[in-house]
Amino acid sequence: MGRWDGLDRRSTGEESISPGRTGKRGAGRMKILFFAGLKDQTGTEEVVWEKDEATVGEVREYVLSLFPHAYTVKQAMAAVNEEFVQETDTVHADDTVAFLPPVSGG
Amino acid sequence: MENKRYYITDSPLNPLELQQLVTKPEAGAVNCFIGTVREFTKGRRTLYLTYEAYEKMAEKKLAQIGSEIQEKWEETECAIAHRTGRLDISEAAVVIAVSSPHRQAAMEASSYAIERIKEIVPIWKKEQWEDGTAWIGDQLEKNRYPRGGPGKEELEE
Repeated sequence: MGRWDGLDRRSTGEESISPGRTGKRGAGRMKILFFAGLKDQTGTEEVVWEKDEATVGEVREYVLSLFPHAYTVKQAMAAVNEEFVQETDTVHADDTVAFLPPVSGG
Repeated sequence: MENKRYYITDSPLNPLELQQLVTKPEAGAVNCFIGTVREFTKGRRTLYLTYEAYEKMAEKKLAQIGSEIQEKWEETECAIAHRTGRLDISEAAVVIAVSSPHRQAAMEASSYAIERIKEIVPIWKKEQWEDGTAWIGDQLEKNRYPRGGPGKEELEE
């Protein structure tokens, strides 16, 4: 019992040091935002993907895997850190990806 | 907010305030475009609109349009504000003010600005009709989402 106590304490201690901020592989997070009709379809305005790197196309596929009925994501423009991007562009940890349905301002 | 030339706000827009932002002694014209909420579209009655924006990006893109205008038309000054939230009939959704030494540039530039807003600024409007609501996908209504989601046909595609 005493032996397991020790292990438990040690592992708890390690977790509390720096969850998600160690800079180790697998520690990255990207934020994904939804708007307007797309937000209605996903039922949320934001999800976090624990991933170090992905293409915009891969992020789009991830969204569809989470929300198969979020039809609008297929025709949405994508932006990374508030700039429009192409499907093959790379998204990194700490980036914010936004999927933008066709706009209708004015 | 006072001297900001490109902004999103949920408060009523004041065209005079934008006019003042672009006025200068060198200007011989200030063109102020006001986009308002229309009651009837193709015979269908709108009760009110709700605008949503990706605010941070929308302000960046409005500023980009301003830079494009200053590149295309020399010596112009530009200010653009777009409102979000619920807007009733006849309220101003967008105000574009452009000043220039001679009138033609100011008029052309504001026309350019409203077209660009409809292309690149992340703002969306939701129509509230008497019998339903829909996010408007684009100004030609080619991409609207009835009932806020895909219809049967779309899911089956």
